[in-house]
Amino acid sequence: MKFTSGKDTKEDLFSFTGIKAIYNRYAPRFLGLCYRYCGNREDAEDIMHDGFLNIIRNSSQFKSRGDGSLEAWMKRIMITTSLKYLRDHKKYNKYLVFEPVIEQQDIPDEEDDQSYPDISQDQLLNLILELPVGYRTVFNFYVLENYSHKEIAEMLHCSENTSKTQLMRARAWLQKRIRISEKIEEYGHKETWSR
Amino acid sequence: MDTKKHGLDDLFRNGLADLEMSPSAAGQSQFLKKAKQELRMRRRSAGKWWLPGLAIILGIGLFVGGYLFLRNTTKEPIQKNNVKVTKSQKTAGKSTFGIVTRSFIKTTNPQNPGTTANTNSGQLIASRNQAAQTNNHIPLTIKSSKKGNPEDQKTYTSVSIQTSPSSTKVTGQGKMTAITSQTLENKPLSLPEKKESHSLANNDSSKAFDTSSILSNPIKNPEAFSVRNDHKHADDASFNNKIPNIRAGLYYMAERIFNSLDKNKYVNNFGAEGILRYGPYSIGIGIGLSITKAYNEMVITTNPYLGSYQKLDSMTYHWDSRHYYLLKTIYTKPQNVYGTTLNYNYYTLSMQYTYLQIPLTLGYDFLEKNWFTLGVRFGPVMSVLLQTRELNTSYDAGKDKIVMINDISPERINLNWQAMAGINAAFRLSHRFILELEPNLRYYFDSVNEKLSPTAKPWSVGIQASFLINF
Repeated sequence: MKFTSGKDTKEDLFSFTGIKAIYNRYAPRFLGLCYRYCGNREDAEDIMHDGFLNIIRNSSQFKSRGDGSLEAWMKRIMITTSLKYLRDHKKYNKYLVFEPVIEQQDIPDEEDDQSYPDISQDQLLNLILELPVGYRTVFNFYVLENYSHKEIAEMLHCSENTSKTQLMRARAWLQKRIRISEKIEEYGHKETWSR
Repeated sequence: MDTKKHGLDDLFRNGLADLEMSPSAAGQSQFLKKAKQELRMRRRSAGKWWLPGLAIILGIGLFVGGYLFLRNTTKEPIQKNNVKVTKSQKTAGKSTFGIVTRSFIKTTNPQNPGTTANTNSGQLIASRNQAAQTNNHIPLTIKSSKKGNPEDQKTYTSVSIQTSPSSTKVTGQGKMTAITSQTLENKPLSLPEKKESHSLANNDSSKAFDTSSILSNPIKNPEAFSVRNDHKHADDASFNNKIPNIRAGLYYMAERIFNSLDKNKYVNNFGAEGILRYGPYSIGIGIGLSITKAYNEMVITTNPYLGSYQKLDSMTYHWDSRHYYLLKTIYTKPQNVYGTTLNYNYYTLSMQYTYLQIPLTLGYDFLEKNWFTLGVRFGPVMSVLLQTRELNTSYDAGKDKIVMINDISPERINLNWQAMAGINAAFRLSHRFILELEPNLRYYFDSVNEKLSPTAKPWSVGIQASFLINF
């Protein structure tokens, strides 16, 4: 029996049936998002459910701006909830204190024309989860959520250069890990990507 | 955002774009409980809960205010009727006619200025065995005010008493006789030979009756009943028109709803109501409960039971020194084995919903008889969901393992409004008691259930029976 219509509307956020339909549709996607930030499945579920409750609480503030706006708005809430969770919990928040960057000039964004081998989704996810929390957070914001350094700086209460530095280090770390993995595979070692 | 191309970014961006993970069933059910609570709290805080209070206060205010207003507009100042004895009668003492409750008749006797005659609002009752024993026959002339409102009729009655020297005996005739002879003092009167007349005249007297004939045969003199039945007439007037009055009582309504999600179903409504009437118009407010049953469809996901085995719990060893043998003790416990296949079982859960119902009705009676009134009633009805109860909570999954329970029926909404219109037939059982029957039609402005897609609004037909007391 199906009670949901094809499109999500703001009214869905005001009824239990609508919330259930939205949950069933978006929970897997948002759980993946939260998992990218915290790296722990149980914590990710807690974050996602807190995020959904925040969505219910703040549903009156949502203003529809066309198709997809509801999803974008909910995603934003999920991200902020994830960030708040990282800040509020000791096992994460100690990694979110960034040392100030001394450089006076802006750090230029680098280009990368290298080619990378095909890596499965699980391997990519594991690579991200191996990143230190600070690197991972900035990398998630910048690469996967498409936030600018200015936005990231505001969200993480740091400078733009700090955000750029964290991103550079994250990229370097990931490149190094990918190269090592390539060589391991070349030499025929049975190295797995799982931790 | 910087727009420079970065291969590593693209690799992760494309690879993780559709990353999805399934939440656990336990976490999902826990969240849905929290979401339900959150929605309830939000609805309460959204301010919808002041609506019932406002409706009650508004209804009561209209009710009481209307009653007070109408009562004040129809009330007239009380006038005392002085009854003059136009021709004196010689009495040794005072002559008192009846016991006064709301008015009195004062007789002015030139010889005995202090002589007074009191009447009991026109109900001058003389018992047959206590007939007045006087030397003179005293025909009574009763003047009843036909004008004015019934209150006046009830309160003020003028009586003219004519005394005849030849007959001083007044004989009561049943309960309608108009003199309380009990209070007459039977002292000899020294009257002139000619016919004397005691005229107890009302200020606006227009008609007089000879009470001697009334007393002798009251049935043939229905006018006399106008004195006796003034009180009843006043009640009749209040029943039909002119005077506001209040009725209150209990009601029960059987209702059948159409266009609801549970198909067509019955609803029982009962409660108390108060009605303020003024002429053919009425306004009523009630408070009651509405109880209905519904069926929620559940999907119960189970893993099939495959069998069981004895699972090793622990082992102990004891050295038997006599036999040089290590004695082994094995402890096991039964362990069920379930398959990983998910079976979906549909289960119907019987629910009972209780609503607080506050109807506000406006009415107009277009046909009125003494015992029967026919009119129309219409107005809004507000329903607030008070309680949800599961009638059958047990589900037997057998040996299968229940993985998840999902209620796929939409939730009930907490507040809905209805418009009601009906035909009201009121039967007057007695002076106090009234039975009303009212077939009516209701249109629900909101659906009973939460629905995402717009559907036709529910409507209902019902018949209401009310037992009312007329105050």
